[in-house]
Amino acid sequence: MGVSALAMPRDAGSRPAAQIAGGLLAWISAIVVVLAVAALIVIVARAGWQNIVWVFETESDAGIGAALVSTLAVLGLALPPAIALSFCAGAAAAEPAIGAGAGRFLAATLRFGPSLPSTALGLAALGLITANPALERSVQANPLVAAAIVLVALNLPIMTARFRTVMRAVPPEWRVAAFAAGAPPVSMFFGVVVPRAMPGIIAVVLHGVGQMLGETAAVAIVLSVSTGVKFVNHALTFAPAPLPVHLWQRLAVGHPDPSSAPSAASETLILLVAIVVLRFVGRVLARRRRPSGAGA
Amino acid sequence: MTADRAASAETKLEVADLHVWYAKRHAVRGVSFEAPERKTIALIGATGSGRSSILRALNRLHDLDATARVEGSIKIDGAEVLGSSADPAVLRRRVALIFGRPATLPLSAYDNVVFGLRAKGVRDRSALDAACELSLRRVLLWETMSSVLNQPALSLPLDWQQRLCIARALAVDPEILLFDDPASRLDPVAAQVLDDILLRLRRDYTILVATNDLHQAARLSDVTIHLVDGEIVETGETLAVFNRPTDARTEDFLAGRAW
Amino acid sequence: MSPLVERLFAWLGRACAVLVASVPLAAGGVLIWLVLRALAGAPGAVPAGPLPSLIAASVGTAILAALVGGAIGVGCAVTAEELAPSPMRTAIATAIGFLGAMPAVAFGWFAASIVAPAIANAPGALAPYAGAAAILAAMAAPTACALTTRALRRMPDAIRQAAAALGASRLQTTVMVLIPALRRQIAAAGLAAFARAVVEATTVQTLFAALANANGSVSATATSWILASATVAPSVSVVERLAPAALFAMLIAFGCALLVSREFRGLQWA
Repeated sequence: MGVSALAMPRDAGSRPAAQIAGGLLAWISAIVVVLAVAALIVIVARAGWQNIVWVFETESDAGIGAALVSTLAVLGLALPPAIALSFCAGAAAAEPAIGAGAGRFLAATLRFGPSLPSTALGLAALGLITANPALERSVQANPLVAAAIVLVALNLPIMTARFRTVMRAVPPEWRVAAFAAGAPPVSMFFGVVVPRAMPGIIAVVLHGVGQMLGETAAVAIVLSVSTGVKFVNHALTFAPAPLPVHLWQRLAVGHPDPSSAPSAASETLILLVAIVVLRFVGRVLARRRRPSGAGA
Repeated sequence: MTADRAASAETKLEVADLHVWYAKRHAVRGVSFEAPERKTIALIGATGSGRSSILRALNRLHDLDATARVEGSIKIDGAEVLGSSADPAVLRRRVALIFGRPATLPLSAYDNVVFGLRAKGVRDRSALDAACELSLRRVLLWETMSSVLNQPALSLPLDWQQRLCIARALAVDPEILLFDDPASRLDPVAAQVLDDILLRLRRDYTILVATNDLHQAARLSDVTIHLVDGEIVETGETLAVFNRPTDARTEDFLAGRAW
Repeated sequence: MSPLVERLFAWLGRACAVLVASVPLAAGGVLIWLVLRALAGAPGAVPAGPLPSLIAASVGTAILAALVGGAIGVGCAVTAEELAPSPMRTAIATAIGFLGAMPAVAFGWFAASIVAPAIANAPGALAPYAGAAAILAAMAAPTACALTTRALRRMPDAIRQAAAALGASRLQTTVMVLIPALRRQIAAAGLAAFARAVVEATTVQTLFAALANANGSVSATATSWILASATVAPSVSVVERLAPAALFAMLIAFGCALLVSREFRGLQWA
């Protein structure tokens, strides 16, 4: 297969050695990645499968049941506002007739906004919290709400940029045709753009779920306020930490408990399974929703 | 220059000192003309003469182009339509534009035809069905398409798509029809069918046709306006313009001579 | 839709647009405020301790990770898009997509479970950085792959057909035509890989935690600068101490994103 691609015709171009080297590098990279990922999956599956402890304890060193419940709670709090806000903002950025100046301003910030580091956002949030005692008490009383707010803030620019991309992928001539038929901007958007962009919209939503599912640093930084203890050198001792933070506690700096290694493997396995399931569901939904042009 | 008003027809459309810029390019330069009710006007001229720009200005499609700027006056039934008080969506249902390339929406044939009605707020299924049938009959598509209305419109032959776009425009009961070189993408046979449809429609609507097809212009129109570089150089009754052009540039254009 | 609904949605969209646009700006503003407050508290003092060495370690590790991860990512994209047959293409896309979707904490587990034991007894002070670079390369490769794939897909097929018509093989077309034509975009992909690596904290921190656990202590300066020097309870002082590092990381990330965006806007057939 690939070997034939490397075969040189008799009247080969200049620098055949460079071509061969380039081809080899490309092939080796690809093969290494495929084999490495396969190996990683096998390793984590073997290490984690037998050590899943489904114990709904409230201590962080116990089973992952509480962590899963916290994860679902945080996702339930964060996803609806994140999806709604980013969808509306994406529409404003994608459709000048809807967004006007605000949409243009947002489009300009979307060139760099999605690359906001999660630790930077977490630290900025922590700075605001620690500067305001009332806010700090509020976060301590409602840690999961605080975590959800941080997740929403972190994912808004990313999801908005993605929504904007899938909406702008709809051919402009369809917009013009709808306008020429007398449709106002929002009717055009929901009548033409949204149905056509639906597979992409679904993909963005599922990608957002995956991002929030795996977010650790920003949430851990903000949640550290809840205990008033070091957020680096000791494991957090309060119970309801979302799964990624829960996992990170086991791997925390300084004194990770060796006996917790099997549980850490199982939590990693569960996280990866969740990601794979999300991607699979996303692909299935996208295929089913792929528009054929028949009926709106 | 202004067109002579037909003696017995009221003025449906008045264009006065219309200018259109695309960034720095001055595409339409002080164009003025009047369109009598239920008359057909042909806009002829070379590529870049401003025909399409004029049509797009009439239903404010330039609003969608951030680089376009329109100045002047456009009145329909005496009411100015370029100001902020006029609703562009309502205007575009009164003044329907059919593009040279069929602007088919990625919907079924039925949904394409009733799209404008749904955008207008019509929800009653029987009303939509009736409007769909009437519109398709007027473009000679009902007999062939009545059983396949749920078919994706984009899968139809190009000439059917163009007729579907005309049906979509007719469904919202416009007052003025604008055709921007409607047969440019069609074969001669399909173009002839389109001409026949336009001949039927000219009895009921005020029509402006921008066309490269001089035969079409001669057959369909009551008045012909010749544009060069965004300006009107000759206008008048079609027979007069075609048989006895007064401007040398028009004479050369009709004869196919480059100048 | 009624005109009222039209207006309401338009205003809702604009309000959401302003809200979303303000998130990165507000984060930057807060970090700048924290830095200024710290400087006001101790004029002339650098708020964070070993900031220069942290920056050097982080940037150096990220450069190494970007070179390795970028090369791997570009290689995967070129192979999948231009050279590989269909089944292999699917396998590559699945593998690189899986890597891209993996959360940082999952990479952290691999860092702690596989990389740390492998380098725990390695000689030399640079071994921890090499381990960090390896993990960061794996995290950065999907970014480079995605951008290179985007650039390759935007290449018109007519170019490939023209090269084939002149007798070039797929490999020759790729190496002699496509890659030179896209060298700026490929460089931008490498820059994006660097940006991905330089701001990563969680994974590197877990690697160093595991090394500390294995060795009793880690003499090398931790590269996860944002969390590296935290030794006290969350408080105003620790936040102020870390704010310059966070601000620096954010500016690097934004700067790289703007440069990458400019290269892809400049793609003439985009």
